Amino acid sequence: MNDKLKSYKAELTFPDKSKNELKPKCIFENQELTLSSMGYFTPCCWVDDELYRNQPWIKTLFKEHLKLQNNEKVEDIFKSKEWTDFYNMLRNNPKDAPPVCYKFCSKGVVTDKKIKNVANKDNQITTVIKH
Amino acid sequence: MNFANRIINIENNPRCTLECSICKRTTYFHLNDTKNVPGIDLSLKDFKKCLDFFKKEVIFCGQLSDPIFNKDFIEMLKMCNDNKVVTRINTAATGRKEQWYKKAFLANPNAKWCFGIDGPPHLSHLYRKNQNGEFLFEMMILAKEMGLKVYWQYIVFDFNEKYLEDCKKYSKLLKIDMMVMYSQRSLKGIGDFKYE
Repeated sequence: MNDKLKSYKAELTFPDKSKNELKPKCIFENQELTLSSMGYFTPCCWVDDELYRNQPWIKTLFKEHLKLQNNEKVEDIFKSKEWTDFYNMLRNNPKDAPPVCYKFCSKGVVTDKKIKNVANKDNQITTVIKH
Repeated sequence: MNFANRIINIENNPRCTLECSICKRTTYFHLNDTKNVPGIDLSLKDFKKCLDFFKKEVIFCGQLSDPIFNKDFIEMLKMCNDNKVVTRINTAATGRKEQWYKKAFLANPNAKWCFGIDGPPHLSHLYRKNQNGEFLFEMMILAKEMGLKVYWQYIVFDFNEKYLEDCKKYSKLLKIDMMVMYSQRSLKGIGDFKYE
C-alpha cells in the first residue's frame, strides 16, 4: 500500500461480514439513487467511489452498456441483468455483498441522524450527525 | 424494486472551484496526482430521460463537483419546475456571477437551495478552500428575498465551533433555516463535540 492509500486507511477498513447483519438502506430505507458525471447509476453515493468501485458486484454496475448515454430509457438500465442480480444478491444472499455495503449498511450503522430540532416563529435549526 | 419512486441524486458535471480537504474530489486528486476528475456535463437529452422516469425528487448534490457548473443547469432547473418535481440543490462553490444566480432562482422558484457556508462567511474558506463565503452568503440572502426556500448548512469544525451560537442567532434574524452538521469531515471525532 503506498503512502497516499495509507492515509485513507480508515476508508479501507471494513466491518467483519461474519459478525454483521446487512440491512441495505437502498432496500429498507429511502436511500437516494445516484447518477454520476460518468453517466452511471449506483444504488447510493457511497459505492460511487474509486476506493470501492472495483469490489465484487459493484464493478458490474460500471459496464459501458449501463451508461445513461447508451440507453434510450432509464428503466432499461434498472431492468438489466446486472441490476437485477445485484438486488437479488442483497435480498437472498447478503453474505455475498461487497465490503462497502457492510461498511455503510451493516445493521446499526448510522450514517445520518437528526439529533435536535429547534423551531421558532422565525426559523428552524436542525442539528444532524452525518457520516 | 420500484426505482421510479426513489429520490435521484444527480452529479451533473465534473467541476468545482473548491478544494475542501475531506471531499471525495480532493481525495481523488491526491490519489491520482491530478487536478481533474473524469466525467462530462449531463446533457439536457439525458436529463430528460431522468425526469421521464424519476417523478419524486431530484437532488443536485455533487459528490465530486458542484452542480452550478453544468452549462445547462438553469434549463435543468426550469425543466424540474415545469415537471413539478421536488428539486433540491446543495451548493458551496463560487465562481458564478450574481446575475447567474438571479436567473437560476427565477428558473425554479420552488427549488430548495442549501448553501454550504461553514461558520461566519468570511471564515468559511478555512475548510471550503477557494470559496468566497461572503459572496455566497449574499446569494443565499438573495434567494431568500426572491421567495425561495433556503438552508444554511454549517459543518462544525474546530475552527468554527466557537461561532456557532452567534451564527444561529444571525440565522434567526435573517429568518433562514439552518442545518448544523457534525460530520466525519472534521478531524475531531464526532464524540469530541459537545453537540447536545
